[in-house]
Amino acid sequence: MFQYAEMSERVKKDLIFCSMVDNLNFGLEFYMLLGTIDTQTKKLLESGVMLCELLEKNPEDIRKGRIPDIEQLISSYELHNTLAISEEYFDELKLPKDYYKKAAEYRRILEKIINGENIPIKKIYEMQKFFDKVEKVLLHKARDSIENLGYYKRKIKSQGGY
Amino acid sequence: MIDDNKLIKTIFAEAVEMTIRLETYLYSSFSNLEGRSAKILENYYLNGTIKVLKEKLEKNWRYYKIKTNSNNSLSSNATNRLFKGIYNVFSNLKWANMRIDFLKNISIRPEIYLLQNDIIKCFKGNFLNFNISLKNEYNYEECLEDLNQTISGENIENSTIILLFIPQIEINNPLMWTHLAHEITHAYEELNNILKEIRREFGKEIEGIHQERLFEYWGREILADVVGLRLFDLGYYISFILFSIRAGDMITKCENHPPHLERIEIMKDLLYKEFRDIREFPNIKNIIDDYRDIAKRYADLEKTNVNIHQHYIRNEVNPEERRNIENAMEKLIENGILKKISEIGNIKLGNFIKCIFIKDFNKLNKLKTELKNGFIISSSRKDLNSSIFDKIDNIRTNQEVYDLFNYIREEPNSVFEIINAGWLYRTENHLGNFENYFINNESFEKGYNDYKNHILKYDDILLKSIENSELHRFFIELGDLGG
Repeated sequence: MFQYAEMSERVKKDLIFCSMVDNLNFGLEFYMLLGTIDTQTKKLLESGVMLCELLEKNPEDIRKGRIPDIEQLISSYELHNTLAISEEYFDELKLPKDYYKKAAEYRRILEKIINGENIPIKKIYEMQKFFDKVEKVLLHKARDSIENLGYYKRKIKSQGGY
Repeated sequence: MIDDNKLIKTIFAEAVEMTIRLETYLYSSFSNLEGRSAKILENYYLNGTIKVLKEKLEKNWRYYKIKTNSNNSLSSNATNRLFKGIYNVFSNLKWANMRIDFLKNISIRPEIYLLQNDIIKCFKGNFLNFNISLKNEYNYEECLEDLNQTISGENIENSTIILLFIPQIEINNPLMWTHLAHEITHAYEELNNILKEIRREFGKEIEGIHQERLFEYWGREILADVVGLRLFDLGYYISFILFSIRAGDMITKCENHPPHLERIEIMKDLLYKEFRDIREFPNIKNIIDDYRDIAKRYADLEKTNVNIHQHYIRNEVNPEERRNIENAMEKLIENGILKKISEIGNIKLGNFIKCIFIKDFNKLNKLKTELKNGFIISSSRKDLNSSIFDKIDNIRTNQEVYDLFNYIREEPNSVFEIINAGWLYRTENHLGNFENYFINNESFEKGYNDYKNHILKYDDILLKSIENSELHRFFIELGDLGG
């Protein structure tokens, strides 16, 4: 039962990460298409800022517990964990090894966009490329967690229910 | 090749429909509950889950409208963006469905039992007892046998009850009930060892323990697909493709299930083989081709946008065995074993099931038109031709009057015909309706509500058609309708 609850939490977290990156990517698209920031685009980009805040924590600091906010420490740990369970993904997707530094840079850019500052198109393309790769991993991970939970549910049921 | 715009519209419409069905199910569930906890649940699901899903859909809708504003085509980047957005909605829907597993206070519609009985009637010989329950997936389970034996301490014959599961959100959607034929076949196949008989035809083509095991698991799925096709043909084919899109996995090879895309190709070939005169009915041919292309393009987009598994094998399997299983999977597909199972199975199944492919496309097209005009399609009348009018003019005796009734008598349509016509109507008009409700509408909320009314209206017509056709048959058996 404990494992079930844990797996269930995992699904929730993965779906939240997925939604954050989905919002961020749509937000950037709307920004490019409309050339301005409306209420919906702002909301989507703010979700992206939250994602970057989690992603920009140095994995080394997380391991050593150097992040003061415990909730952010846990969430960051989980996000890094979700992405890093797949070191092979990073090789394949060619995300930079210091991706957490990139995330910090992109968070600052997103905040500038939200505040109405102009950002060169080239930079936006670069961000889109980066977050597309992150999304590719997260989309799969969320689905995988759901499948695993479904498989676990069937398994424990066949062993006499839960 | 299917164009990306059509693909995106198809999968978006599917995501909207699932959300509508989930919302409807939740409303009807909560209206049966009372007290404070009911209010909390209602608030959590309807103001939480459904609201989030609708926001996600609206975001995709808005992006699609902007992108297709100047012309009707989608760039590759826009297609990928929308694919990922809608894929994300499907993931959330899947999770939402898992979380409503405990909500089972809705009674099963009698129409489902009618369909289940009609399916069972197609199988020859003795069969097991069935019951239907709600779950978040299509599945079946044997139960009660163990319990009965534990209580009595002896082996009781025919004590097994097969429990068929149908997803909660499909409770009012007869079009997706085609999957019951698939699940019933699993139970029937186990009882009659059909697959063992088919295995003999393969001799040494199947090598080693892994290929043997996969033959058993995958073969079972292919056989169940063949029965689904024989009973519901076009209906099963399209519902399976849409089911695969919702599942979000076209290409993964699992231990229990062959890849969906492979199954779709096999089904398409079988339909072409059985529908020899299909070229005379271009609308039906186009549907078969288009939906296969939709599945193929979906698989391409899945490969590009999601880091999908090529193989899905349980975690507990060690690396060496994993490699062996993967090799066995590849071999079975490369050597065309699955296609051969479907072909041999189709012949062998002739000894076990009575129903074989609906081929009266004229009738199917006619029923579709009636459905389009909002009529209940529970029965059909033979076409009147001029010779009947000549006969009317020359009637002399009472017997001649009764003979004439045979020409104008209404015959109840089978449930299979009703569901097939429903699918034909849906596939031909779906995207058109979708355009009307969403693309030409300025507000997502209004489009959503109009589309919801449209879907629920057609559910009702189909359910009423199934019910009426069954009553019609009942009265014919009683002899009250001159049968």
